[in-house]
Amino acid sequence: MPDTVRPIEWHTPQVNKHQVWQGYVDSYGNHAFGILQENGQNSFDAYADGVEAKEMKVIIKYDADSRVLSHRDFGTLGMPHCRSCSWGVLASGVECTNADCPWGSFHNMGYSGKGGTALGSRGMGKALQLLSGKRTIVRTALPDGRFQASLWEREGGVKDWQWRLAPEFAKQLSSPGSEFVTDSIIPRVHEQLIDEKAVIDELQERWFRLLSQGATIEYVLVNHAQTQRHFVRLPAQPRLDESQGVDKASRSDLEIVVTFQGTRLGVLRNVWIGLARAPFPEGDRRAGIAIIKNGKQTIARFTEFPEEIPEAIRRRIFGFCDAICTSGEPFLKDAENAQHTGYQWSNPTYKAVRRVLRDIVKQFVQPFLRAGGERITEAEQEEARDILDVFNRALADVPEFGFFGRDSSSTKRKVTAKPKNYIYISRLEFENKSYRRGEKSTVTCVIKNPLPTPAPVNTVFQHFDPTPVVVQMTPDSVIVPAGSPENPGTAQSACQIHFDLSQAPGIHWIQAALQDIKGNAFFDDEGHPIVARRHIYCEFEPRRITRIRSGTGAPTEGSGPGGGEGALGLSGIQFFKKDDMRDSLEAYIDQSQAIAFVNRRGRRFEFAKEGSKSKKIYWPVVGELISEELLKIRASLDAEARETWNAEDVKNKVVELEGIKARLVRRMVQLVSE
Amino acid sequence: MASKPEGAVRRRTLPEELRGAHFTREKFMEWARGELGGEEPRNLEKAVVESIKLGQTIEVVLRPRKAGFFGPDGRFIEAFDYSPGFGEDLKEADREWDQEELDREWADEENRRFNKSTVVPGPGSAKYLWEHGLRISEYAKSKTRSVSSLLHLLDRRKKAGGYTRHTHQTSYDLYRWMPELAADSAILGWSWERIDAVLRFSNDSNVRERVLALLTRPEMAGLSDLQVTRLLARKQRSMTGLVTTSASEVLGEIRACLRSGEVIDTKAAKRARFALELS
Repeated sequence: MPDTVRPIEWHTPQVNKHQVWQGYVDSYGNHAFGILQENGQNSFDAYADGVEAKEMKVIIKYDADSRVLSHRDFGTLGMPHCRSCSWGVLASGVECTNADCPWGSFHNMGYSGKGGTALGSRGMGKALQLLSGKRTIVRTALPDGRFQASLWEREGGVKDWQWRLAPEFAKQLSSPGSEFVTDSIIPRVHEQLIDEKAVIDELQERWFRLLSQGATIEYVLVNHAQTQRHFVRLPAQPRLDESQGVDKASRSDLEIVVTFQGTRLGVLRNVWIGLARAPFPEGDRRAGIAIIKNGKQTIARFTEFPEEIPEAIRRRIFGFCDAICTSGEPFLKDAENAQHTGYQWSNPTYKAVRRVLRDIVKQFVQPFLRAGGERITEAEQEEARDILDVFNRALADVPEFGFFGRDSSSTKRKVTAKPKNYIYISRLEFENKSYRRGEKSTVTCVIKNPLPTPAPVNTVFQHFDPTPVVVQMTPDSVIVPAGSPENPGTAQSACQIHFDLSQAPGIHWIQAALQDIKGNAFFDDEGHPIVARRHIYCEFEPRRITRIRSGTGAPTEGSGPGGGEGALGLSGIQFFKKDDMRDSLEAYIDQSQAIAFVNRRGRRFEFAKEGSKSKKIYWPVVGELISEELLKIRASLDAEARETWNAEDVKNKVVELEGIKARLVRRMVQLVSE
Repeated sequence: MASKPEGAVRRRTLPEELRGAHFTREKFMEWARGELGGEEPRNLEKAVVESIKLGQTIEVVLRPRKAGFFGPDGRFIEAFDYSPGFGEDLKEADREWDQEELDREWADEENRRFNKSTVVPGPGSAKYLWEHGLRISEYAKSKTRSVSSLLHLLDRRKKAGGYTRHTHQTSYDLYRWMPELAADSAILGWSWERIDAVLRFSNDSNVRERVLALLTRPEMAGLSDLQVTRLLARKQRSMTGLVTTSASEVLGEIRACLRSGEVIDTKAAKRARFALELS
């Protein structure tokens, strides 16, 4: 027998709901999908905490012949009532609207008390099912063995919606859970429900994370006396583009903290991004990164990838991330639209999420990019470096040509610092430059105060992994003593950075931002927040930049045999075409760039090309042309060294220079033939 | 011995009028062009610009945007981007260089035809954008180039008064959306801002068609570009006046209808118009 003690009477929601509900239902592009989604939310919310996805089961059945739609969940907590009421009615006879009473809030409120952390948060979901037909029976069976049913219909079939307990329909269900049965399904919903493929696609997209963890969702369609039972499967994963290595085809991050101006907004977990081998066809719902609320329901797909990524690649990116929404941190809750099918574009939290996802994606696709979106292999890069290597090795053996860097732009920039009139960060200090995962590092932020009063300062340290996403955020407070612009007060705040095992190795960044005690950012005199960043290595050795110095002089000399400081090799060889300069400009060296330019139409180059059988044979000519240019520079430098030259000196210099040039060319030919 | 011309990488002290708070990108570019013999300079790094604005940096390194050098006569000689690998077949390199030359000539010609002086931004510029998009598409097809690389090339080779990649992208996207644009199409009277707002609103042609249909309805007659961007939620910050929550909701509903394909009745359209007038 159902658990009923009060006389049965009709209950009408406290205010007329039909119009409100109709407006809500109309806001859905597809009414049936709205039902599937809202019922799914209710069911998956009704599982006790800790229940694994593989124990979750939902069956949706539509009998198109008799126009009856039912939704049943298994193993949930059902829809119990609270201690204050009996199945939605208080002892006084008033309907229970307690936000913590599942039965009461479902039956008596337009807005439920699910508080926003559960999947549904506005309690309008039932409207979709109710308005899809004429009459709805709600059954529930609780884990303690009690069960109940209610009946929903419009008063006189046309007025507002009302409900009553319906013991005549109550029955013990096969397992705890709830069931919603609606008859006389309206034509629009009927048409949408008999489109099996669309229904399955929708269920797949909306719940694929739960499906991937073993949840069961069935869609049973009875049409023309034929029953078709569909087990909703996980959408097929496209083949990954492994052209740049298996490890580059996808990436995953256990946790990413989303921040805005140093304030934590929430966390994305289980971020997984992959690059498909082929672009997704138009309308394929797998394209983009699904944002999954609490690891259950797909709210939206993020597809607005940075435009600097070629479209052909943008259309191949897919993946997911779990947006964790709790009562303490209702991350992205306010950003959701009323239908839970997307986010408001202008919402600041969603903006921050978009920024984070864009940053990750930009880094992820790097190996697949080249101008025009083509791939460049490591072998191609190696090959391009080879010629420079040959030339620079030859130059290293001919130190007389070591003069690059003299006119280069690498000398230190002049900085004219002016005294500051605001609190600022002097520097960030680490104990070591490089760490291993599992280790901890203390970061010190040196803060200066040029103001005449002491200032309490809150330093927010943020630790970015190579993604770059925030993996740790730690505040520290300190009072910075008063000072003056010329002699500012100094204080240090510090925090301990953890290099967790889950973090990616590579170049990490530590950022410190200054705030006042109320959490408002400090700004400089141009309105920019006071922020400082510094990189730190985690199980990563930066690529050592080795340049073969052709100079032999002391590093501080800047001159002498073979040159001194900055006497580096060429940084590149490039080609140009100038027919009208085939004799006058066969090659040229721009010292400011340390690049040699060779005229493709130069007389000797053309000749070498015409006469050559080997692919490599024109390279010694390139070497000769460039060495002539080097010679000119050498001669020019030597000429400047002396004020007067007699004929003998000039003759000797020419011989010397010719000898140097010949040595370089010989060395190049030797290296080429090796 | 004749003195060598100055290298392409040039260190310069900023003039007083470009230091600290006086710095603007436009003024800097104009000055830098003069220092580089008329060549378009590369953009300064963001950190350098910030440092200049703070008054901490008064010296900058200027480089031409194009690869190349200043020859003995002081004229800039452009070099190829492609460099053959050591031992690589020169014929292959020649093919690459020929293609590069062809692409550069095309990009220069296209930038001459389509820039801020030949196509003034504003109502009616749509026709030129569409034609520009058509030419990009045809060139890409005929030479089997990626459109993305062409858009980058156009941007890289633009001169003073040239459009950025975003505008070239918009032109191409407009053409892709409407490859058969009728001579009497309302779009031809649109400005770049309006086209951009519609294109960025959705990648789906059906949605764009619905936006077009809405904008040509009598209820929406006379909307300014700013109001259109507001309607499509492209530029919310630049709107003046107070935007009420209810107005945002009304516009949000219209956007949802445009995306979902739900019919927007006259009443809803009028409500949206009213909300836009309020904002």
